[in-house]
Amino acid sequence: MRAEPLLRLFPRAWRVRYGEEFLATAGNQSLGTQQVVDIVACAIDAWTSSEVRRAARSVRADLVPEGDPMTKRCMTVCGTAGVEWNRRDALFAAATMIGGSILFSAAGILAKRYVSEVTGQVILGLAFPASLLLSFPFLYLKGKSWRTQLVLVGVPLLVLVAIGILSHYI
Amino acid sequence: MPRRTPENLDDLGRFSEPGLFILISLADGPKHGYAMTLDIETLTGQRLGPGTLYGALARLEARAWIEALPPRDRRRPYRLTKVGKTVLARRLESVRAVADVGRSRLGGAHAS
Repeated sequence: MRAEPLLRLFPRAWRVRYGEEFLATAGNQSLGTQQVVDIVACAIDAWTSSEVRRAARSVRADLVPEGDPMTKRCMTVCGTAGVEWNRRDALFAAATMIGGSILFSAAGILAKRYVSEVTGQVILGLAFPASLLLSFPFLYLKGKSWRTQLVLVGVPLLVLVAIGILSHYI
Repeated sequence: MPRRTPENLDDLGRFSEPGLFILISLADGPKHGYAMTLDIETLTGQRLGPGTLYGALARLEARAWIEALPPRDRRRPYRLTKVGKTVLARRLESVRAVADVGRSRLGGAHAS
């Protein structure tokens, strides 16, 4: 067995960061059982170790400007090279923002008419910010765990609802 | 008991030995993965599998003990950082202290 098919066992970020040099190191020759086991164990490790995931997501050194330690440090810490946005993500995010705004607006108008003025105003006020927050998992929060996404979207959403309600009583 | 700090090779768990070999291999200059494998094999008689090598490399890189350089012909060299050199020096010192004690005890045992 060769190393190339085994590379598919690794997370995408890991393949982007280490894949090419890993294949160059493993070589083209057929692998022994021990080496296959070693690579499979490494793949499991790449999925489960937060430290390895962090290294795999770090910015590739060849993309970082030479001789600028501050920029290099910032890009290494903040870099998201392992997570790439594609056309599909952009379309989902745009659809969530536009569709969410329309749905919230419609719900606000209906609530204003059939429930109460306050409820309707709160929902209408939420239309754009809530839709924007709901689009984050497709863009800025892509690659984060579902718990992180839930907290970073859910908490600001609750704060917005609270502000909307309070603004009508203060 | 010595205080464990983040700059300690023992924190790498099962990758602490391969990690030490990699740091030693990079001590005389940058090397790519394959060159490290050969160097470590010459040094220790042990050939690191590509999985173990990259598991250890990723951890050392995450801790900024080594850093990647621009690739040459699909192969990316790595070099020791300042922190990496400190960690390596500390570990080698500790290994030497243990070896000295072991040698002196062995000498005492032979004498008796």
